[in-house]
Amino acid sequence: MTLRRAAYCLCAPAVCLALFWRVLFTWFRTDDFGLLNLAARAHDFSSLMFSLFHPIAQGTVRVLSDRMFYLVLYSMFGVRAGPFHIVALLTWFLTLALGAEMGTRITKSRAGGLLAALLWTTSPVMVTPLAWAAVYEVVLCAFFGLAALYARARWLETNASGWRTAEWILFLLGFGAQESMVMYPAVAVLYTWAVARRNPLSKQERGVFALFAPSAAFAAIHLFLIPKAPSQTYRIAVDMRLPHTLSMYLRMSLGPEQFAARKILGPALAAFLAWRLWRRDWAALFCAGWYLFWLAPMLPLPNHISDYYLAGPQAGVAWLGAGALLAAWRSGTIARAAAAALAALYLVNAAPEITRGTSWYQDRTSRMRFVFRAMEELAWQKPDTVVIFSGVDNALFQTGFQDNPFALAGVAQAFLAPGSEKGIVAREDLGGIQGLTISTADALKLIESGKARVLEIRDGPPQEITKRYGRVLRAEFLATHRHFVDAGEPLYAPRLGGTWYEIENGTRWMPKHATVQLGGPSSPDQRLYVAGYAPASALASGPVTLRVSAGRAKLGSCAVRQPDDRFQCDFPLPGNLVGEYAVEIIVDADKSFRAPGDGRELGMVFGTFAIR
Amino acid sequence: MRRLAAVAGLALALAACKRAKHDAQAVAPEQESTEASVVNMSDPGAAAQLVRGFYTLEAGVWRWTMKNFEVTLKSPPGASENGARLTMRLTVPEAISSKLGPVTLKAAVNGLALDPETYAKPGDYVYSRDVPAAALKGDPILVQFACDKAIEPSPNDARELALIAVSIGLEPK
Repeated sequence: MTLRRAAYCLCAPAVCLALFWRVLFTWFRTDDFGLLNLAARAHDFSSLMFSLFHPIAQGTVRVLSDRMFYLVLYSMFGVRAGPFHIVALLTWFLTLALGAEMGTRITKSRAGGLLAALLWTTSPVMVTPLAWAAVYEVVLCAFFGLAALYARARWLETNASGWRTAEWILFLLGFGAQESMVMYPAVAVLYTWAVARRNPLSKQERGVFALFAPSAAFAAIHLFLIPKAPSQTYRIAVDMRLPHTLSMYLRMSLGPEQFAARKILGPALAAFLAWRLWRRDWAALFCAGWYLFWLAPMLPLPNHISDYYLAGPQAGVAWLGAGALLAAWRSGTIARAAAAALAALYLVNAAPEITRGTSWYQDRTSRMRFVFRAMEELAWQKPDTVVIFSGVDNALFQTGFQDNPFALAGVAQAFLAPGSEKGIVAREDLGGIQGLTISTADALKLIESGKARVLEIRDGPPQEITKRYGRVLRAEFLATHRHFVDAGEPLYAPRLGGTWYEIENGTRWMPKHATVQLGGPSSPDQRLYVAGYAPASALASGPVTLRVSAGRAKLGSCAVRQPDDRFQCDFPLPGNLVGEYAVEIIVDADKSFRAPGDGRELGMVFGTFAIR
Repeated sequence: MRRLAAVAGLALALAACKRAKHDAQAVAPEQESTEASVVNMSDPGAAAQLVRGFYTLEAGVWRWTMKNFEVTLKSPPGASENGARLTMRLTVPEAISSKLGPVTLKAAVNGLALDPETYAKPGDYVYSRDVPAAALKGDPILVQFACDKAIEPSPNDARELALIAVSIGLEPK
């Protein structure tokens, strides 16, 4: 390979790397976790088949771009995003090389091919396909589409049957990348006629129509046999919205909304296309056809207009743009200056947009990486840990909390800290926020039992705050449960006087005398309810009478007679306690006993105290 | 088909070799908390006591609050015998006052509701209430605030905005 040839081949990848280098440091987000989970499920033959072929989301079975891509790289590298982005970039470099080769044929100039590759890889629509592994499908589909077309071009040029076989293999493999591959036969026919200038209906070329058979079969299977989860987002609508959707994509192809160059580049390209068609340059028609054919399967999805779908179609714009620049370059000084100014205007707008887009992906996903690595560490320290996250904002939540990264990290379950779900916008089609919320009481129980650990999100690695947060939740729980005490529940211990014994089987023994603090009644008709259990040993010498007071006010007494049974008593409360912040309930048993081998003075087993 | 099986077999074998990752640096260890009786929003260490309902520090001194917000405070010396005084320094911004009219703020200390206060005009205020000793037993003390109105989240600002908090504290009597 000569130096010049090497420079030609490396130019577009080098420019791509200079603009998109951040994607190598971008981590996973949203759908990535779903696909990684699917890969992680493959432990035997049947689960491998499930991971490879089970339709997901809108009924897609992208065996190569979704399944094998994640299965192989996850198996080799685990949850590490670098290899995924390297593979995506390498695929993209090959696609650019193929784009340059085809651009050379379309513009009839090697410089035109290189210009097309450069225009394609400097397009901001490539940010998502290169920064987000989950949309590798669009890069791989563009690769297979162009590779198949390159094989067709070579076959038309050389008549070597190997290229024809290659076209078929690459075309069929493309179905494993993305559904848009069904449009390849139309592209192949158009290329044969418009660029290669052969008659597709001639005896020698009519074989191209055989390509439609696999496309028809794939489309029928995809549309009629594969079940699809009902989703507004992916609902197919062939109606009056199609032109609007197409115009949205056309505008996106020229840059985002704030792209000042768009208003000049669009009309300039349209004028060039019209001029070439008027001059019967059908290669320009092929550029437009390529764009429309690849985009056609996405046009009936008006609720899912996404710039990454333009990754493949954008080659058509790039070839047309390269043709326009070349034509201008050959048309004198003024046209050359105008073309250079337009190209500069495009790049001046595109480069910052690519930086902004790739930075956005890098920043968003790096926060998720910190979260994930922390979960992995907690799972390593103790498998099946439950994690409660404090400080999750909407941006972080939408980077993947609804796509179950938790199982992948090895934690049993994850929740948002109680109350912190306010302000979070969850996707209902992914199950909403319900599965990630937990009540204060449940969170406290998990923390108290050592099953849950609490992480606070901040810049950098999350901080463990389990003890501190446990104290806060306890204070919160007690502040909001002022009229109830369960003596057998550790949470309520601060409300019990000093004479109570330790918890045994969810209850507590009191000696002859015990106290409990409750919030005062909110109305005069509220009563005090006391419940417990009477072991036979406590009633061995006859019924036990419990005398109950609220401060200095005697409320009444209650005789417990039934051995080995529950008991419950209730008492009216004096009106002067209404609205009191705290009322001390005093319980006195008229007798107590000592069990053999147990030095404690035992009165009665409780139970709950409630004012309601 | 044989190649596919070989690739699948290799993938499965590699998957079976994977173990949970260990990186002690991935979680910052828990630090001993030293709660304060007075929380100044400007104090970065005080953020740990802002339980919920506060947004990020702005201009180094204040934070927007949601409609409901909570802090934990350390019980000041002698408070469990003598009680204490709850004080919140706040600002009712023009943006809130002009849009929502008078705003009423109420507070509860460990579940004990304190008298509310209404702010009819924008400006700087001090919400101050005596808290009886009975409500100041145990640590930390939970102080819950609630405003009767707030600006709802919008496409321009996804936050629910109520008041501007400068400091919240329990002072001994």
